[in-house]
Parts: sequence; C-alpha cells; structure tokens
Amino acid sequence: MKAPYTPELQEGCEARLNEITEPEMRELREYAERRLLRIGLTTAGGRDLAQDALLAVIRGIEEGRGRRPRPDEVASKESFRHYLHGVILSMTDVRSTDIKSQRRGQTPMQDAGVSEAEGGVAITARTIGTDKEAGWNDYKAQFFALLRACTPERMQATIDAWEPVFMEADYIPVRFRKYAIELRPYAAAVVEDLGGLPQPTPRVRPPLKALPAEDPPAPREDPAVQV
Amino acid sequence: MVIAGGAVQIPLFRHRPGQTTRFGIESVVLRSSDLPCDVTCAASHVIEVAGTSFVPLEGVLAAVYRSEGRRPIRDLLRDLVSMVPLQASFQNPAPAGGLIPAAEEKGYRLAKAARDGEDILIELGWQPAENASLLHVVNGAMHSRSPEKGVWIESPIPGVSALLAAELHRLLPGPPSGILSDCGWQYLNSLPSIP
Repeated sequence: MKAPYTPELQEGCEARLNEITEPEMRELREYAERRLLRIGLTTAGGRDLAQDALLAVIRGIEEGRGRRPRPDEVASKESFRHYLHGVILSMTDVRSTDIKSQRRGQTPMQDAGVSEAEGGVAITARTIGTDKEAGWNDYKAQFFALLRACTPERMQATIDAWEPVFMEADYIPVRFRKYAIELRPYAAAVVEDLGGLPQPTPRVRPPLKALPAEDPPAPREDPAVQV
Repeated sequence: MVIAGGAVQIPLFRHRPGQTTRFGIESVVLRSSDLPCDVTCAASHVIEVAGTSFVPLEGVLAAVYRSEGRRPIRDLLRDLVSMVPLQASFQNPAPAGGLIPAAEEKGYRLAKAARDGEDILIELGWQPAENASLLHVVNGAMHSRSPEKGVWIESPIPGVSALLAAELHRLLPGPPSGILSDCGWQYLNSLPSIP
C-alpha cells in the first residue's frame, strides 16, 4: 500500500529530484542500459528509461498516479539513488514480460497471465451459469474477507484492485508482477482453508478486452512506404 | 507484402511519442485491421488512437518470416530504412571494428558494451547502410575471467532482432567471445568496472 503523502515527504522528494546533477543523470542512464543489456533489449532506449523513471516519481508526487518513495527512501541522496535504481529495475522487468498477442481481424487480447492461473489462486467465472453465480458470489465474499484478514496492510490496495475483477479476470490486476507474486501464497492458503475452489472449475482464459488507451499522439501516415 | 494468397499493400504509419527523439523500428506501425496474420509483439508498442489500434510492423515481419518469409530479411530492412529513416542513437557507442571481419562485412556491429560487476555485457546491432542507425540484434553476457563461456541474450520481444540474430548465428555459430575482434577486446578491456 502506498504511504500517505505528507507535504514534508513531497517537499523531500522534490528536493531530491532537484538535486540530481548531470553526472548522476548519466549514471542513471548507464544503470538503465546495463539492465536492458541483461534482458536482451536495446540500450538505445536507456535514456528514455531513466527519464521515464523520473517522470513516474514526478507523477507520483504531483498527481498521485505514479511512483511514491517512502520517507526513508528520500532521507539521503544515496537512498534516493537506490530508490531510483529500483524504479528502473521494475520498469525493465515490465518491458521484458510485456508481450501481447494480437489476432488478425480481432481486438487486442489481454495477456493471459497464465502463471497465476497455474498457481491455483487466480480464477475467472466466465463460464459459470446463473444457477452457480450466487454460490460464487458467496465464495468471493468469504475469500476476500479471509484474505484481507490474513495479509499485511501493504497488500490491501492490491486486494482492492483484484476484488472487482475476480469473476472476470484470471490474473491479479497489478502493474508490477512482484505484487501478484507476493499476494499469491496468501490467496492459495485461503483457497485451501475454504476447501478448494467451487465446482465446476472455471476456465482460465481471459475474455477478449480492448487495450487501455494512453492517448498517444495520432500516427502520421507515410503514403510513400510500401513493404 | 507478399503472403500466402498473393500480394497485399498495407499502409504504414509512423508513431512519434511526444517525449522522445528516438524513432526506432518499433515506431513503424500498421492498423490492426490491416493485419495479414496473427502477431505477437510488445504490449507497449501497440497504440490506440481514436478507437483504432496500431501494431508494430516488426511484429508482423517476425510472424511472416516465421512461417513463409523467403526474401532475405536484410534486403527487406534495407528497403524499409531507405524509405523510412530510423533514428536509434546509442549513447557512448562502441568504436567501429569491434567485430571480426566476417560479421562486419554482413553489416553487424558492436553497438554497445558495458561492465557490470564481473560481467561484460555487449549489444550487437545491424547497420542496413552506411551512416544509417543500427537496428538491435542481440545482446551477450560474458564473465570477465572466462569469456569463452558467454551466452547470447535474445530479445524477449518478437521482432526483426530475432530474425537478424538467427541470421548471425547461422553465419557465425558460437559464443559471443568468438565474434569480437582484437579491437573489440581492447575496447572491452578499457571499460571501467562497475561494482
């Protein structure tokens, strides 16, 4: 769960951002490049990745939708540098697993997140008939009540995000996989406490869903190009 | 584009995100409604504008070449970059001549290298024409004490890099250490160590 943002913390974070010098920016870029080299991606995107990390922190403090360091992470220049490395690291992780299938003549298909389904804790109920739905709703209510009771406070936001899509999605809807990985054993224990999943076990494939739009600038057609 | 069932003409678009000056091959896109086949690509490279979805061309090329591509991929890419100049600049790139002549003659280049602890990391690129920007091919990792045991690190994203890497491995099989020239090794040995 994100720490509540106090004006002092915001000021501390802004001060750390303003302290970043050109050599430190270069160090961040080089760190990003090394991470990209490790996962097989081009280092030509290293500068963009470092800047994206800073932008995510700026958005976090200005708009509340981005990265938010904890107080100890802005306590010193060194701790803030480690924090920014962590942001870059998680962004490279996302890039390496951010693969999507798109079928001819169809809308984009959301990534299946099969590993969560294999773990036995992520379930979807698209194939359940109306007669079974009430039972599933009861199960869902019990499941989330128990899950909230047995998990640390920091996981509550992840659980809050999961509950509304529990019946439709076969994955835990988190931006970064580490949160799903952290929550998975707790969820598996709750499923076990409840005596397993209700029958019939629903299918694990997700529904087709449109991609979230991020308002990119409109592409420009280049009529001269043919392949 | 010639695919099973005949030739098709597909309009291409260029996507220029606002915050970057980079214009890599992933920024060349086509409408998903024009897709000639199913594709797999990086989710972040798929864009939506006014309800229309655009997918990167390189995902399509990877899919086509996996099944039926016959024309050499390097010929196709030379044609593409002659019409759509790409800009993928590397910061502090490796000096020229970092690879053995057999690789350099085919357009492969040592694009970037870095030390990370005890490891040496390299990135290879492919240059479609003189002065053209490099296209990413594959990365390699070697331990500084036993570089001959190095490994190739393929891009996880399906695209032209996988096709170019396959060509490279076909031409010059072996670990990353075998493709570096004396000049390349000199450069790697001069890199500062990062703890």
